[in-house]
Amino acid sequence: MPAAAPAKKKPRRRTPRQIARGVRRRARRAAGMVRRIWRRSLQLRVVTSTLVISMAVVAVLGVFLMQSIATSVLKSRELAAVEESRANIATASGYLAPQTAEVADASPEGGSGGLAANPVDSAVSALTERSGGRYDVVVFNDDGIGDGRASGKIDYSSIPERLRAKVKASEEGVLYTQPVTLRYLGNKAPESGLAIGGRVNDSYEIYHLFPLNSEETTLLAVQRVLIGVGVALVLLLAAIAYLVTRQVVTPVRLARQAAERLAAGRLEERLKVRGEDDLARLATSFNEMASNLALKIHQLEELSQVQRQFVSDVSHELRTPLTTVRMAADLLYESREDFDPAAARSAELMQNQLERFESMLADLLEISRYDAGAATLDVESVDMRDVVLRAVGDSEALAERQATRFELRLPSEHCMAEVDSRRVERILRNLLFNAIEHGEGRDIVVTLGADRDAVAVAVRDHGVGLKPGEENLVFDRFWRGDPSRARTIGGTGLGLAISREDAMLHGGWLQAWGSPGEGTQFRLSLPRLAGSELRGSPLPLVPPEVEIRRAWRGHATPVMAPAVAEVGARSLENADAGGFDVD
Amino acid sequence: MWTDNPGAGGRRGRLVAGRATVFAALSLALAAMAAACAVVPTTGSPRAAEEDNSRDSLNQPYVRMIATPPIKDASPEEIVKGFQAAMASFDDPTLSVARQYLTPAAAQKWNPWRQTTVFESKLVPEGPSGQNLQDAKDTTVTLKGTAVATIDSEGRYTPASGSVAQQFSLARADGAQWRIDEPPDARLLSTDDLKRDYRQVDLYYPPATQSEGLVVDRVWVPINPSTGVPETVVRRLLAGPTASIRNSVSTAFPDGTDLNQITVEGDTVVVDFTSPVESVSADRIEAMKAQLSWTLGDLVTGRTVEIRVDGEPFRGTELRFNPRDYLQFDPNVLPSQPQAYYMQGGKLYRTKEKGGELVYGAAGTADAKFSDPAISGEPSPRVAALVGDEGIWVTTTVLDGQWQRWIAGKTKDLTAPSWDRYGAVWTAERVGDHETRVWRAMAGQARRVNIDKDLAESRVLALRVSRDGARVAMITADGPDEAVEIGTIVRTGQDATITNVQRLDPRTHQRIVDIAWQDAASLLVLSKGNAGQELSTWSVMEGMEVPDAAIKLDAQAEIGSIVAAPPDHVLASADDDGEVRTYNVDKKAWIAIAKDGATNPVYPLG
Repeated sequence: MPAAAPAKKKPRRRTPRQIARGVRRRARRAAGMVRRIWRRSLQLRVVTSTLVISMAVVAVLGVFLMQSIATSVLKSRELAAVEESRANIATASGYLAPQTAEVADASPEGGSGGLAANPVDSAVSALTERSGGRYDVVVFNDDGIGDGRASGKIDYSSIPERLRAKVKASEEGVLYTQPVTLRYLGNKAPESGLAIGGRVNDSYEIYHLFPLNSEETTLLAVQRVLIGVGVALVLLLAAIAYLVTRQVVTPVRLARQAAERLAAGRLEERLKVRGEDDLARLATSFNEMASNLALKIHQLEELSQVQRQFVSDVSHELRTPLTTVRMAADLLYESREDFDPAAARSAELMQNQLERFESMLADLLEISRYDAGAATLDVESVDMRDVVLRAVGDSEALAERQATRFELRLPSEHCMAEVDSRRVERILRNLLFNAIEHGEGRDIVVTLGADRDAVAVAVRDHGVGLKPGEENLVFDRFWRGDPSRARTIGGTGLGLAISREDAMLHGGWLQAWGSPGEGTQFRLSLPRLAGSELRGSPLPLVPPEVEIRRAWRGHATPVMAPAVAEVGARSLENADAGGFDVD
Repeated sequence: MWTDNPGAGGRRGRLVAGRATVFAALSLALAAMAAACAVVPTTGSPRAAEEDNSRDSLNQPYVRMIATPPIKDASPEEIVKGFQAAMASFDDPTLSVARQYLTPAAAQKWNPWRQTTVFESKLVPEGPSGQNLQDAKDTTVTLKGTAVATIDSEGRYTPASGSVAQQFSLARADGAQWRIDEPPDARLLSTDDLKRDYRQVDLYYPPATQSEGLVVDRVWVPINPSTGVPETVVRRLLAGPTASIRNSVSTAFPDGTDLNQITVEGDTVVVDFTSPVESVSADRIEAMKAQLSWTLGDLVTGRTVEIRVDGEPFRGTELRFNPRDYLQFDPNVLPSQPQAYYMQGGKLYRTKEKGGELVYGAAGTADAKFSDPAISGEPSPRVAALVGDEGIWVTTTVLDGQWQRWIAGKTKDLTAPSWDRYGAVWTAERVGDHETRVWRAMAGQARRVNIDKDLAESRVLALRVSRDGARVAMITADGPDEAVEIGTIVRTGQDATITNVQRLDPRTHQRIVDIAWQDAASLLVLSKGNAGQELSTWSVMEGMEVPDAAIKLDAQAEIGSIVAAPPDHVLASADDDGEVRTYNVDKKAWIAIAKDGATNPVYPLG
């Protein structure tokens, strides 16, 4: 991945801080990628954890094994060395005993020239002869002059002073050992070894220096073998884990891909079934589920088709008798002054309810057209200010009846958009009627905002407002904020549903915001160009004054209203961004 | 039911049998696995035991003295004793510990390398009697002992005798401690110290005449503990021969060659020299290898030797050789089982398993009366003998070999002939009453050998050239005294000179019956004293009688002549019994190999 490419390769010189930042960014990206792969790959996780666990187990086992081998090897070597030293010291004490003359004569070295050899020389030669170079012997005698001897190349300062002090203070026949570094005269390299010392014949200290390099070699070889075996074992385990998880993960992955395709609507997707194991049974179950789902979905589609057709048919069928009923009712209504007051009142009521019934029927027909996907847009470029003004004009009469005033905030210049003005007007009308109905006579603010890509109309009332969670419910068919409240204006309960369908038909959004006691705001956002995607809205969903008040109440940071949070992160950003565009 | 069906029963039987087979196989496999799992095998087939070759046999173990600095408030005797012990330590080539026993001024100028004096083991320091040391400013301690030898700076061992009293004057140095004021300019060692710190080493050098072969030079070298025996020996070899034979030998190593180190790599002994060794001329490389092989001797037996230069292969190619291939350079020339000859009835016989057989040629006949035969060292040997009264004649031992006269002279004036390895016959001639001449004849041409005046004026009773051709041993008579003298032969072109004549045995008043070279470095001397006959072996280069000589001689036996050959072959002729006897070292007894008037045993050369 390019994340690894160092920043230095670029010809342009950059400051260290920039480079550091770049490196950090790349590292972060790489880490993110690794994390993603880690999260997504079960196989990687299983193999890695197997690797880690087996490494830990092998390491612990290896260390334990190595320690026990080393201990046993060194222990046995030390025991053998001590035994040999003890035997040697016994021999030497024979030589060094006060009646040395006979002993020395008896020794093979005593011969040359018939001279009685120095007992120390005889003793050390005998010991050295016995050693055959396997170890070195050093003799000290602090009480005698010229009684110090060393064999071979050993540097007698290899014997630590602490050991000498111990030996000097010890009982005769008690041996002391200490691990030491054996140094040699000349250019022979120092090696690790064991010094064993004992005191004989009062003041003679005899030290045996055993090199442990063969043991060291053995242990190093064992260590190498252990490490090699351990690495091989870990790799083998990892490979086994890889193979095993591959066997499990591959079918699961296939199942996941099939499920994704299924989710994408390709209901004919099926898994291949191989063998009779658990995964095969999973595949079988998956396939059964998929076919059942397909069947059910098909059934539901058919059912829904039938229902829509039914609604549409019912609406059509109701229209013909309704026309007749309407004509009769008109007749009755026109001649109501001839009736007695009670009958006249009934005629009026019938007239009203018939109008409502008609509009409801029209709405039902309209919505069934949407359901059937039969709605089409009749797009033309219009000035949105005219559309807003027309919708407001249509609502004036009702507003006056409710003693409600409109406050229009329209941009001064043209605000052209490619929309179906009939549908947009209907949306706005619906919103205005809704605002008048719930506005409790307070002012209704209509704001038109625009930016390069989009236009938005916000309708704000100061009524009871919406409870949290109701922002989306308001667009449901036949939904009522308060079921006990009577419809004063006589909406059909389908207005907002149709409005939302209209907005979506434009590729726009229709969103609601509300807060108890603060009123409601509906915002219609539409792309300026028909068919282009809407990226943001020029107006905030939450009214700016509410936002500012909250910011004051809360801390310096604005707290999003729950309603805003419901809308989703993307529209929230847009809402915030739009807050600066608005005026 | 199914039992009625024979087929089913058979199938079942097969099944059971199959299961049993499987079970058996499984248990076998398990047993095999269990056996394989056993850590220590408890069974197995016998095989030859393996030797542990990993040990570094190049570095034989040896013992060193640990030098200890003077202890506080030591008495003068202790100081002298400690000084003597510290001198015996070779760990530090500058002898810094020994110098701590000296006063600072004496430590500055003390030079112990000129000579090493060897005493017998018991060296007793004797302080001044009656002196009150408490207040004394100086004192004298005498170290008394018996002198054994001196070793000069080039390692030549010279025996010494008599008691020696070495005086040490001591003074109080810093801190009122006794320190030696005037140390002798020599290292004082006891025989124990010598045995421990020195090695008797045979150095081998090719003769100065550039002919094949090697000459032994025996020296004593102190072992350098930091490098070990082999390096010490090779360094001494590079330092060159001792003065006594310097003119008669050369060395194949170019001047300035030094040794870096000797290491063992598996079966190969790697000798690493400094770069001057590469300047050796191509025809001397073989001699160089032979010198190394023979000087290292036992240390490299059974191994190969490789010469390297500063760690790199010699002239880019591996110079690797087996010391066994250089046996023909043997200074002793003879094979390990040399052919012996003897005279019987005036004819020369060759010894065989049983009895003997006549040699071919004139020596195998009694046509001419001859005596004192000498056999040359060639594959087909020649015989030189005193024939009749007409000097020294030589014949071949092939069929129809005839006598040829090489050296003219009267037989009674000539000593018995002696061959050297280069095919020359040597003899000494008595001319008149007061002059001795030494002759050396090659291919029938006799030339006089240059000798110094002392030798020319003494009477030479016998003359034998050593087998390496580098030395000559002579019995000389000066009035009634007979002595053995050793001279070194220096060959220059056609001429030869006997130089550096040394008397071997300091004892007097004895009669020397015969001498024989055992090998290149030791000489058998048969002497006759008051107690009867005595056979002693002498190391000619040390001038020392070899103690514990292997051969015991019956003092009452009348031995007329002896001959010897390496390693330990000795033949003697018992003239009384007319027998030639050989000495069996294992049985420690003399065994007759030829009887009935057999006499004059001879080994080639020597």
